[in-house]
Amino acid sequence: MVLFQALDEFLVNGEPRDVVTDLWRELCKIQSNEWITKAKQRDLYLAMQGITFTLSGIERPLPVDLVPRIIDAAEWNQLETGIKQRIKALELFLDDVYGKQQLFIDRVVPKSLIVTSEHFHRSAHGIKPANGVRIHVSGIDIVRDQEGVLRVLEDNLRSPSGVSYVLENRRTMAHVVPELFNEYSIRSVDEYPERLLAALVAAAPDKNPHPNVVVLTPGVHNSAHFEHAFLARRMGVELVEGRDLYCKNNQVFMRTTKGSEQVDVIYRRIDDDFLDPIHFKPDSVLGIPGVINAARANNVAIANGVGNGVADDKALYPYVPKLIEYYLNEKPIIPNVETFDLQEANALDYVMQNLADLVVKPVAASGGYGITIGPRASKTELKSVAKEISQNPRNWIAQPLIALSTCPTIMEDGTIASRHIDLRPFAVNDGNDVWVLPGGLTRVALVEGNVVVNSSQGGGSKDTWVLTSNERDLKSYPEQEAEHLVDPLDHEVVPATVGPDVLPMTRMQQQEEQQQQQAGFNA
Amino acid sequence: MLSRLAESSFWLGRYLERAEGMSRLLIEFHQLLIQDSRTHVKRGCTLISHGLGLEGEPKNARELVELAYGEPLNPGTLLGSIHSARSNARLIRDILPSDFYEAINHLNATTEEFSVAAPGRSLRVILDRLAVSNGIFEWLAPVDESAHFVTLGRSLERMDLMSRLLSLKLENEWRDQGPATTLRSVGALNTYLRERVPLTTHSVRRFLVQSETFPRSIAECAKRADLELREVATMTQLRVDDILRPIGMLESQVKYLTDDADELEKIIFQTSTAVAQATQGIGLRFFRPIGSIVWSN
Repeated sequence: MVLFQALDEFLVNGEPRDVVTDLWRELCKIQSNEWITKAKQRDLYLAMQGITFTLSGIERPLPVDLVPRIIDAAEWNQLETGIKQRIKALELFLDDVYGKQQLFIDRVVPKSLIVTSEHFHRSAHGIKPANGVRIHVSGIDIVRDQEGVLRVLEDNLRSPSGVSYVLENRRTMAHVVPELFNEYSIRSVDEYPERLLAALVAAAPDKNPHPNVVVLTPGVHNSAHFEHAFLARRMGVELVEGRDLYCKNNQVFMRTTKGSEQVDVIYRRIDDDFLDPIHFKPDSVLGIPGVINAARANNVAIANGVGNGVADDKALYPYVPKLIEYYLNEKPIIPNVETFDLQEANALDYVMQNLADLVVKPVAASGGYGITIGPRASKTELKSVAKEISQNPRNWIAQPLIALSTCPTIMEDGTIASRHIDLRPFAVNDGNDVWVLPGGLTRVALVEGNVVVNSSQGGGSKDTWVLTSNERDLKSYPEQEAEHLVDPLDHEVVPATVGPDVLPMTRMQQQEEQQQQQAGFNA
Repeated sequence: MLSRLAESSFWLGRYLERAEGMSRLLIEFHQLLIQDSRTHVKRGCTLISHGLGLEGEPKNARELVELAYGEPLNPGTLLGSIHSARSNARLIRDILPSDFYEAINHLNATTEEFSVAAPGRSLRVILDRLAVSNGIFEWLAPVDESAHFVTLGRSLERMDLMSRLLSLKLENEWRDQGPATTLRSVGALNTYLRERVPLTTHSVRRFLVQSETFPRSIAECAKRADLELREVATMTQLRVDDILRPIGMLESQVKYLTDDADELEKIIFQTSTAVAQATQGIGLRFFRPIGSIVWSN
């Protein structure tokens, strides 16, 4: 069923776009049986490296497609600026919501919309992070529509996952298909852990120059455990579970063989609800009782901030362009996808009548769960979702179906076919600047025609190449610097020393010849 | 033991280590170089090949791998070092555990399937086989003179490789990824990060010279070489103080190193010389080079 004509990232009328010409030529050289072999090599590599995610309790590799996605420097600059703008506005919004609440007085967003959000936490009110940052890490999902316009599909400001796969995908690609890199100059993704650590260190409460940073994981059974371990390892910090930590006198400590050690920054990868049984779910065994009070007393920084969910609530999403204008006095650089706010009576009527053409999403869910795609849904499904919407319109949003752009992707039989993709760029805010990791996670729906790309829905990923621009080259690689004054090439290098068996053809050769002449094995 | 066997043991250790060091280095720098097709790449390739003492002017990652992989008769290359390790093992197969000899043959056989186009996979296979060989050696080889010579050779080669790597100053070429790549290329990234020191060029170089937690740092390898040579001295009842001098002096310089960057660079430079001197000294003392035949009248 062809619903719409999606734009292809590689091809226009069957011809490759300029930026992908070289890559396309290389791709076409590879036969389908070779793709099958390469896919096997990739799977083996991922399994050996332990690069996995857990779906329904089973550990499996995150399928990375061997065709990369390419973004040119100019488009990336635009995207980067747009993401920075959005994060800055959302930071100000969160600061306002959990502080003065000026926006309600100015009637920018209805107060009811915020306070009814299940991610709005009264207990976070008045917590003022030391460096003012609440969105230390964000993953803003971007899609390209049929017109070629990049739009924000949703914001992820709680604990967006997937960044470890961005780093590992690049290594996997270089391992399995180095020939594709050929003529391209690609921006590196490797510095992410350092950037993240720097941002976490900057978030520490009392300007301690060597704060103790930890990554808090729910444990090995969590779907993103690989990522938690990856980040802790690459930042060189401790990976802790809730049971390793405790609070005393509004301070957080971890239990170590040397005794108690104070913790200054917690990069938590567990949900708000489980973070502190005193304030949230009382039966949580993953959290640390008292951690919210410690944060309020400014003895520990929690990243990302508690209550951030109110800013990535899908019901707030339609208001974000307005927030950008309100807080920054700027026009939004990356537009939203048109969205119907079902709390407005007119919009609700329209949506109820046109359910079969729209996409409806529950506002509280993530990971692609609970989405109904009108044109694909059966009558019974539409009926049941209509009933749910009419019962509580606050819990739903509706959007027109976007024809996500497509990208050539290798199929199981080694052929190349078009599949829908999106993009999740990751941004790190250290309080001075928002840094955006070049590229991000491109997710691909592996099933034909499918537009839900989430890995929890069986989607795969692609390596994302942001090409370097010439100005950047010059900035990043100065030709001559003080440390270069003595060029390493000027040092005399001793050739590798060698042992006896490779001495010039003298005694060794004589030895060999004469040994061979002697009677030995006579067959 | 026979001098000939001792010499082959020593070189077996050195070549195995050289193969390992080169494989790791190539995996990491190949990763770095292919993502970056600037003119800059040529300089990176030239630097690496120069540092490894190879003759040639590779222009890109592929050519660099091709050159460094090299040929069986050049022990300065990867293939050559594996080949030479195998030749030395063959010379002393009578005293080696048969499992170890088998593992070395297996290592040698994997080179037949080496792919210059996709070297990552092949290099990992080589590292796997090296790990097996080294593991079997640790497990099964009798702790005799031969074993001490193998470990002595290995420790000296590690020092030499580290000094070569650091003398290239690759961190300066790739400012953002250089320090991490250098660490990775000797398998030190995780150990370094656990020390919680920011990833800067100077601190990385210092770590690789001085660290007491990382077993391949110049300091730890010098300590090990010192120890092994003393063991050999006890077993052979020969004096080794003069052979040990360059290594011992290096050890104390590293130990009392100040924060001065120039001093650090001097130590890095001296390491190669110290290794060469020690190697020569060991050769003369223990391997008894055959002189010309002396006829008595």
